[in-house]
Amino acid sequence: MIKGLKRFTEWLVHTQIWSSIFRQGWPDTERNRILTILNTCLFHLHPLKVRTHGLKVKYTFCLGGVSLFLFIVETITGVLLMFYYRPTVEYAYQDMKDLEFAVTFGLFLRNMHRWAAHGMVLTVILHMCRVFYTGSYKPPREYNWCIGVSLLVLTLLLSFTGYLLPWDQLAFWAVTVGTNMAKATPLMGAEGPFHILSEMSDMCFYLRGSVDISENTLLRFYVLHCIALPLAAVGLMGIHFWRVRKDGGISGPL
Amino acid sequence: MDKAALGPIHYIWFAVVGTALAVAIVVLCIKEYAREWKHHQAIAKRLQIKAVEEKIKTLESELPSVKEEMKAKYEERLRMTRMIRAQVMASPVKIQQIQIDSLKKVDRCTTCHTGIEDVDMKDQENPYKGHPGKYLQWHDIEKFGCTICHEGQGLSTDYMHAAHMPLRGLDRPWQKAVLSKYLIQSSCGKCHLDKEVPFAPLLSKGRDVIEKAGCSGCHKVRLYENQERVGPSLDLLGSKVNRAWLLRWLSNPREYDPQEGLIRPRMPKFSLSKDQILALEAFLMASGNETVLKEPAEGGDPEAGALLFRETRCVTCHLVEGKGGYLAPELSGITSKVSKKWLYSWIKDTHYFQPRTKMPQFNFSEKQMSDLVEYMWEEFQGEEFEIPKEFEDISGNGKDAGEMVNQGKKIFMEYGCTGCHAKTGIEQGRIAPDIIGLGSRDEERLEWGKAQGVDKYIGNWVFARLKDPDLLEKKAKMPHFPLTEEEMAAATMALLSDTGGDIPSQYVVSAPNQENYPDLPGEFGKIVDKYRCRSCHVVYGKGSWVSMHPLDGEGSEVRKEWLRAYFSLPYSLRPILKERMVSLKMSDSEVDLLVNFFTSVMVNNSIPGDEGTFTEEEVAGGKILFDKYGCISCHIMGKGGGYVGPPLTTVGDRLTAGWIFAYMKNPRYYEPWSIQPDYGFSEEETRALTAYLASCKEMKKNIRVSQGK
Repeated sequence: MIKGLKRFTEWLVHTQIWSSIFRQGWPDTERNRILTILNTCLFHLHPLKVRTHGLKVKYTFCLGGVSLFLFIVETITGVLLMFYYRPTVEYAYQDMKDLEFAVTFGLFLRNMHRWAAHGMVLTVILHMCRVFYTGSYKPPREYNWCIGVSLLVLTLLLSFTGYLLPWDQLAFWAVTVGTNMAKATPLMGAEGPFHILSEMSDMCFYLRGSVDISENTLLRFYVLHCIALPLAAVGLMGIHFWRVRKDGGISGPL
Repeated sequence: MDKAALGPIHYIWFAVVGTALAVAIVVLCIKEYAREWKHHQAIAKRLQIKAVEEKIKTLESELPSVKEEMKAKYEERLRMTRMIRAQVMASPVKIQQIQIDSLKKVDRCTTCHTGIEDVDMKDQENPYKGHPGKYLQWHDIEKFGCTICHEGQGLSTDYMHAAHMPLRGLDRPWQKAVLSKYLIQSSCGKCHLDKEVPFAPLLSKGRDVIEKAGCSGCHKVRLYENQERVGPSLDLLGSKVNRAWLLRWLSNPREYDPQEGLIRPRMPKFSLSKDQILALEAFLMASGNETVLKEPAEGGDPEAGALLFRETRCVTCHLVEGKGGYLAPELSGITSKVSKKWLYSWIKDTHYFQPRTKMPQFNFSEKQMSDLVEYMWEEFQGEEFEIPKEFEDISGNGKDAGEMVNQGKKIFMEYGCTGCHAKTGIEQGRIAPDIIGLGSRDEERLEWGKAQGVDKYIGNWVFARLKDPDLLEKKAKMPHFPLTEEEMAAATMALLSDTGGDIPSQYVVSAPNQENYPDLPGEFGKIVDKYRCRSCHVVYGKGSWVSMHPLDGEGSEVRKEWLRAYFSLPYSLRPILKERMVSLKMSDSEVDLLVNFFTSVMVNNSIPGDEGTFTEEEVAGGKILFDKYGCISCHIMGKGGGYVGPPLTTVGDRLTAGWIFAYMKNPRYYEPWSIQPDYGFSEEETRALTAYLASCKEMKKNIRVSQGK
């Protein structure tokens, strides 16, 4: 029996399919273990070796990891919500109510997306605080600090664009106020200091796609929320994690 | 990592968090499954089954005692009821929704209100209750849904989010909550654009108030965009009234008649200063022209005048000491307002002084006019007004007359007087903002002024505006209208019914647009204009509904001889009516023209014009039917009878046989508002009744009775 199993695995690891996926042998030697990490896409971002104190919660409070986890939750629930949501003035609010009252687990789905979003904003900010207070922004980690700040901005933008999508009174007026701020941009805003642009061509107009909040704004924010911003975040996160590894792992001095 | 690093405390944490997660998932599933509406559907089902089973029980217990020939019918009914029970029992538990694309609505109200269409559930509590009244029969629920009338959030399936909370409790965040029992009538007005909306008395009253108060003089109001001005022309006012009266009138029109509510006079009270009133008075009195007035002949006989006053039935339109019609001004105390000369000239040349008045130009003789004036002067004597003291003190005030007139003209225009009163040389223009789509205004953007404490609901705003315009805006130009609180509430509701143009045209019910009916041409048109028939009757689509009797098709309805006699001396067909036909004193040639025109042009071709021939048997059969159906409880026939319908003693002299036949066959085809019951007579029965009624004449010689047809 055991003999048969052994022969089967022997055969399996020598098939072309197996050897095209796993280029090295069993990770039972030091060399093979390193190769496993190096050659696998998913493990690639993971350090070869993790220090024992890296597992201690109070070193990092796991804030970066929790942020990543919440981002994954957002992605999964967000994709599911996209099946039910249409970004038009006529249907946006109605679809929201459909989710709430007619779709099975729809309300749970939506609330999960919402609370995970709030949580993500919170953990990303706390993450930044933690990095600041532990001095982890110091060389050679200064580049990664900048990437991190960009990720914080992306998180806030994701949150802001998502806020308009329910298309209720709260959404409408919150985004009205939010985008009105863009009018006060120096030079680029129609009402800012040294303004050179008219109301029809300033930052606020490009943000809204029209003078007031309209169907254009809704569509614009939807595309930003579902495609542009998440892709940018994923890209930056890749660099961020890779640099974490390159700069000496998640914790500990250099 | 060695095991010592993970102490027992970590295992406890892991256990706690893991259990909490598992419990949360279970709770989530239970909550997802046990929705509020499922509970309601279960109860509704139980109630419906109970009602059906009770029916089955009674049917079963009655079955043995029914007669043999009825047995089959009973068994069939029993079978049907059992089928209904099976149907109810098998009905699935699911979300119900009505989707109406043209209204852009999805209503899930029937998810909880499952029995809404079930007549047997009318006495149950909400949400199991059947809809009261016949509203769902008139408005198919599949075509109209729920929230088009009731408002609220139709997409929701729980109590809170459906925004059930009539009368806007303050703890409720909803903008468009389910309307209360009273406010719901405003929803009728979304689609029903006629002035009289059936089963919505408050709405109809509100629309009436809007029309009579003349809101459209200053505001653009839906339905009343092209309304005529409600006030009289002020062109010759200077010759009509005296200064003292005008000053008092401008200071407070209500002093003239301190009654509450929208009766005449309808003039609202403007907040004007004494100086402004004086200037306005100077401007208005400058229009005086004594040369247009004529002196009445000497020696009028007041007693003859009194007789004429009654015969003409002036009180059909005019009030006398608060009693009478509502179309025209109060007559008692008229002497304190106008001069005798003006009164005479007015009766003589009515349309010269007011080209748009509703009053006919009576065809009185010179003698009759002076009699009438003499009588009115004696009968309606009022106190003589003096110029109020406070005006005498400041009159003059250093300004010359021309300056005062100019200032008065400015005030006249500034306060929008032209909205209600015509004045040559001053164009009509609305001075106030449009109130189209008032019902969907954003409450946060309205000016709330001193009314900060009240709930910010658009209805409260409109009501406050009507009640005290100064409350919402400092130095508001809007005048105080003499309305009772009920009238204000009704008007508010009618204004709220305009929620903007979001109703598709196939849902709209509207009265024919009177603009499509121009003034009538030719000699007939001249007579209609002279006697102002359209003040009371609808003539060719245009006119007023004071009389419920449009004159189109009149030629097919009444007989020529009767019409001639009626025009010469009108009498009251139904003595219980307050508004009776006035006696116009038409000349013979005018009567001839009218009679000919009515019988040749104003006919309905679907009604046969000939007199018809009836047999004696038919007349006798008609008499039996007449007695059998108890017509006498509403109509007078011979000596006795009721007063609801017109008397029929001499109906054969009045109505044509063709009309009687058509009317008996289908009473509401020609007069949809008729309360005559439709008995569903057969052809023969109708013929017999027609034969009988056509034979009810004073002069029986006219009927041609042929034997044996």
